[in-house]
Amino acid sequence: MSDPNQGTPQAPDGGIVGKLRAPWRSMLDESPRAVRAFWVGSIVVLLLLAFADLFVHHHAHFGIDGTPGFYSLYGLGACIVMVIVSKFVVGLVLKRRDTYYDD
Amino acid sequence: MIEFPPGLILVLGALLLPFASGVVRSALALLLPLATLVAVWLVPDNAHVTVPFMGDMEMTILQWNPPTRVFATIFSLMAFGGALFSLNQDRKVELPAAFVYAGSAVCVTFAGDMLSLFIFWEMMAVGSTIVVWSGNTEASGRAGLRYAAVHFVGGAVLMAGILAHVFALKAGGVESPLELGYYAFGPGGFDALSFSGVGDIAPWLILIGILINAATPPFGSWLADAYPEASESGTVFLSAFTTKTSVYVLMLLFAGTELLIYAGLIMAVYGIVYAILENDMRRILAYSIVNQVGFMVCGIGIGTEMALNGAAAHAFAHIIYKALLLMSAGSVLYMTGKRKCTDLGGLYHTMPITMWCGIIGALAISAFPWTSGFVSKSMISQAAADNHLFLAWMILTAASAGVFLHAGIKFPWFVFFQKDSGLRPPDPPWNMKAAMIFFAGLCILIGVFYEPLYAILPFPAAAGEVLYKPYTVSHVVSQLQLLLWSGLAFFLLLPVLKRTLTITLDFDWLWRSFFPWLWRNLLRPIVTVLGWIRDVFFIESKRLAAAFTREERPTGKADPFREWSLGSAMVLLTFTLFIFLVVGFMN
Repeated sequence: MSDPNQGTPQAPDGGIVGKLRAPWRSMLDESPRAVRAFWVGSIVVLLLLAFADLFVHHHAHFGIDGTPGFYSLYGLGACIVMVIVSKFVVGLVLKRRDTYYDD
Repeated sequence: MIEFPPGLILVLGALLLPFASGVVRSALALLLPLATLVAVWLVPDNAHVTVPFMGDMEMTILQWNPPTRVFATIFSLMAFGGALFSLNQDRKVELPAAFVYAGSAVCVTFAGDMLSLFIFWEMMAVGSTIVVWSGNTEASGRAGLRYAAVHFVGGAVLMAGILAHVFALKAGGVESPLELGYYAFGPGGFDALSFSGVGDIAPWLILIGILINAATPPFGSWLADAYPEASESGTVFLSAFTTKTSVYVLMLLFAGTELLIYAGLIMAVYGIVYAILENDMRRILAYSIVNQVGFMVCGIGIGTEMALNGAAAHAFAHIIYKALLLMSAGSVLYMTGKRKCTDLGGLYHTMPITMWCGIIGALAISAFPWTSGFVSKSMISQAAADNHLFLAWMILTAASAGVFLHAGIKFPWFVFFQKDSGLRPPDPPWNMKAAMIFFAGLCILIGVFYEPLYAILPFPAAAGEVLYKPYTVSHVVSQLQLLLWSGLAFFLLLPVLKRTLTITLDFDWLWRSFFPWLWRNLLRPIVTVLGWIRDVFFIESKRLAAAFTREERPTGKADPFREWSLGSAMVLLTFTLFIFLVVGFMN
């Protein structure tokens, strides 16, 4: 039972790009074109959606939710905050080996 | 016309199942839930059936309450889907127990008074405990025991609340104190929750009894503890009934109770945080049940017609897509025998149907447009916005984004994609595939043709009016933005989200680890010392005195273990009572 990201040897390209690529390694090995198409397609859709707000009128209930791009940025930001809080605050205190109760 | 609780078809039919085998058993398993579904719809609108109870009392076992139709329908439908999924398994007890469990849930929705509601409520606890035990592993045995303990404590708290209220009503001269109407504590009648005084304790006990079943923290750790230990088909059943029956009862009794808004928000966030940290694929989905029920509880707390409709619709949609997700995970477990994300990955190669059904369930739970989650959850958010509940709306919106992160992408990504685990299992047997395709179809069907669902909600639209319009350009665009950008967050944070072989401690740590530790290291030594003191002062001194006054007679061999344990138990009891006394005086 090895760690998924250490199952394949780490490529020399370290840094942020290398870290971002690591989880995709086995899929990149299989079909680099599919992965690239996924990313290019996703980024195009994300940008189109964010800029769609310039043409779509949102009925704002609170003011802030009528700002163009609000939902994009809020979704991105909220998720980043939740992951960081989970991993580095809650996880740090409450995480145990999964055999904790068996011992 | 049907003049008995339709759920009894499932409960009584379950008793026949163990005696049937082969085709007859399969036919029974599929026809009983369908018969229940038909019976639910044949109950006349003015139905009112009572049975005598303990001589002079009467129980109303059949009547329509506002949310009955939507919940009874989905419970029956779920029993059918679950039975289809479990058709190929050969555990003798699991399916009958699951039918008792499901049938009792249907009976709860038709209960017309607190007593019959409570009886069926407890029958659910019995049935579901046996379903957990049917996992047939040592872990499921112990988890089932903890599950049963929590639920019977919850039942006792609920019963205490009911009794307290019955006595209060009796004292007030009420003729039939068990009628549901007297228990609708809503915003007006629930003074106890105004924080300004202690008030009557009954609503609190009843509320806590229900919230235990709704898996609200800090009472909720039983869910993620027990559900993933059941069998692959058992978990599918378990995911549907207990928490959603609680949602139904909360809707009847506590609609508009402000406290529930906060309870719901806590549940929504708690589910996400724990699911993000989790490695077991079915435990990820178990935490996301808490998250989704949080949306419903929050809607009940808001308490407007729109919010209650939203909560009921969301329960309906949720049961389907959550069962679908757990069927997908169950199929993977069935075919590979593995349940940890660290052991899985790359299954898209050989399990396309399981993968696509899992993805459709994931899209539905994330409330993607044209899936069932979209047309139900948005009503709750809309109600929060309409009532200018800024904080609630912001947290619900963030939680919606978080759902996509923790269940919508995380589950399919780590199970079917990411690294190649080298596993090449085929798709599961036909009945499992059929159940998944059926529920996946429903997820999309409800998302596109939502009017029939809206028509059976607790507060249907007046003639000629539209209940709610989910599909506006603005709503679709904003929802897609929210979800897809949180998807980007997932992929940007993938290096941080790396799976680890860990669990996350929850409140059950108290009784699984802390209390045993407390006993071993603190209470038992104290008891032992107290025992010695007792020996010295009450036995040895007496013997000493006896030795001085007359010659010691030879006595028969006493049983030292028995003597010690009984005596120390008394000492412990006295000690505890003493502590109570001291605490009592200090107050």
